[in-house]
Amino acid sequence: MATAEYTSVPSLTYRLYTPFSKVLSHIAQQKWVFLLLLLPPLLFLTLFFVVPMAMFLREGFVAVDPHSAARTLSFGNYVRFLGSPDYLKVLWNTLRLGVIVTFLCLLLGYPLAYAMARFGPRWQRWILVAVISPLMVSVVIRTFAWQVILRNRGPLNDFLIAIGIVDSPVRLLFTFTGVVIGLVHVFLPYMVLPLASVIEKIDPRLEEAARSLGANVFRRFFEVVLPLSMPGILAGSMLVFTASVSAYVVPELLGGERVQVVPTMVTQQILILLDWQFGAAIATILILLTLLVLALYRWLSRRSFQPAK
Amino acid sequence: MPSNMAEKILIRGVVIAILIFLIGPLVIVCGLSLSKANLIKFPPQELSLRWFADVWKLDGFVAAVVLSLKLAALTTVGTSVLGVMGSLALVRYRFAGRNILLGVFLSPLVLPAIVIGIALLQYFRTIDLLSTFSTLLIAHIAVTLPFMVRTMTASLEVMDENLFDAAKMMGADALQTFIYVTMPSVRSGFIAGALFTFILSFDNYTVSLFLTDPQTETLPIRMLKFTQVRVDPTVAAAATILIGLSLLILLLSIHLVGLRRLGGLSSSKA
Repeated sequence: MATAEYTSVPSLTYRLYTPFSKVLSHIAQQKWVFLLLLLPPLLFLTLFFVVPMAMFLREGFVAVDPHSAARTLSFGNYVRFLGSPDYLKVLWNTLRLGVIVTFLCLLLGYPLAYAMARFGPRWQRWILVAVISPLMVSVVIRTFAWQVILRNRGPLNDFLIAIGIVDSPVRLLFTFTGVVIGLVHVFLPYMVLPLASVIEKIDPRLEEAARSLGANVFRRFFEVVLPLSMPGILAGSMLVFTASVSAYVVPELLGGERVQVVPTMVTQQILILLDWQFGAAIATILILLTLLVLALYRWLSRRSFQPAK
Repeated sequence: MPSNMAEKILIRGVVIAILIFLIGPLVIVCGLSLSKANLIKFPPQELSLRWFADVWKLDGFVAAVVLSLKLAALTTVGTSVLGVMGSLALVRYRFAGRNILLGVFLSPLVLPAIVIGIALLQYFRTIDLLSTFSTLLIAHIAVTLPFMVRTMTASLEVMDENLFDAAKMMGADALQTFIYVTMPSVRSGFIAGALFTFILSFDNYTVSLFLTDPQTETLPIRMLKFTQVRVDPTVAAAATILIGLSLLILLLSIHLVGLRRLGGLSSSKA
């Protein structure tokens, strides 16, 4: 009505649109209108995510009789996993990998995040570009790059020999170290970005105050900046750790058969040994591990960072 | 303050060394593709562009590029529609179980991608109704949806509520409000989400691995096979082209949504 007063002859589109608009307005006032918006995506996720996941993970609790193919409820798959030193060793290796990668990402990510937050807009811009651009490149290509670099006659070994650290090429490809290097490269951005956003919010005057009170660079770092950036350290570590223990491409390509981790083991059970039940049980263990770390993160960040006001 | 100066130089040196670690591998791949010699050696002795002419002869490369572009485009459309609908419902309306539903929408982020891939493989084998391309599309939408929902809910939450009242007073209906008020306010969040969805789908390996067949191979799957079969400068040239494409998308994203917002978005898990 309000619009019509401005034009003496209502346009055709306007006349056609008005009844539609009235129906729309009527619907929009209904209490159930959110269902119209919610149902399509919810239905999609239920059909193509929740149900498939539930169906697959259920397999972990099933034992299939090899003779009659009869299916019975069983915890046998879990007993088999937890009772075997070989499988437990893979789990232990995966956890060790996650911890080492997280620690190295923190070590390398901290200076970058600090520089991003404190060195002014030019540094911030260029570091951001350098951190984000590898993220845009497929992990397959980044891993290919490392395959080339880590080879026995690759650039890294050439460099190490040229500066005299080693005499003959070191084996890096298809080793645990190689996988660590690849994962640190792939997941470093996940550490830098949350860390930088937290360091940015720390008042620079606190560091100035510490400096004028005579604290040297180490005390300023360990007693002022580091404790205050704990929320960022926790968030980044959680992201890097959960991503590392569930990574598949990097361990598969840079580790090969010598480095087994839980995700490669799951894939092997399913695609090669066709043991869906055991594969599902290992996958469940991996998911529980991820959720455990997430819960630990929530608990830690809630406990330590209650605002003191 | 000489010690202060030394400190500054030291920390800047460390930062630059770490940046070289981040960017170096990509530069090396590009360098390899420029080598004139037939073997992979860095730094290259003589420069040549001849490997780029051979890229198109790589078996199935062009088909994989076309397939992946198509898949990423359709995934972006599907994820945008579903993601915007879901986010609007979750942010604009109050109802019981809202937080639980948000958790459901974000859950594909938390779970390991290979497990999602395997679960979908089993599921689609059981129902066995859809073509390989459709299953890939569905899978890609499912794993990219959380990114869209996360950026859209974040953008919608900071929107000024008064705008909706103003729109109502001016006589706008629900559709007009959406087109003229809601979408312009969350424009950069939406574009960021859509761009990220495109990249995630285009680069996805782990979920696609379980759903492709030899006739329908996405680019990452095809590329991985190239790198496994032989390491030669042609593969490096193909990788260089893809790195160039990624940088182009990066520049476009910086132009459209700004570097800072992109950084905030990237810190959520990929």
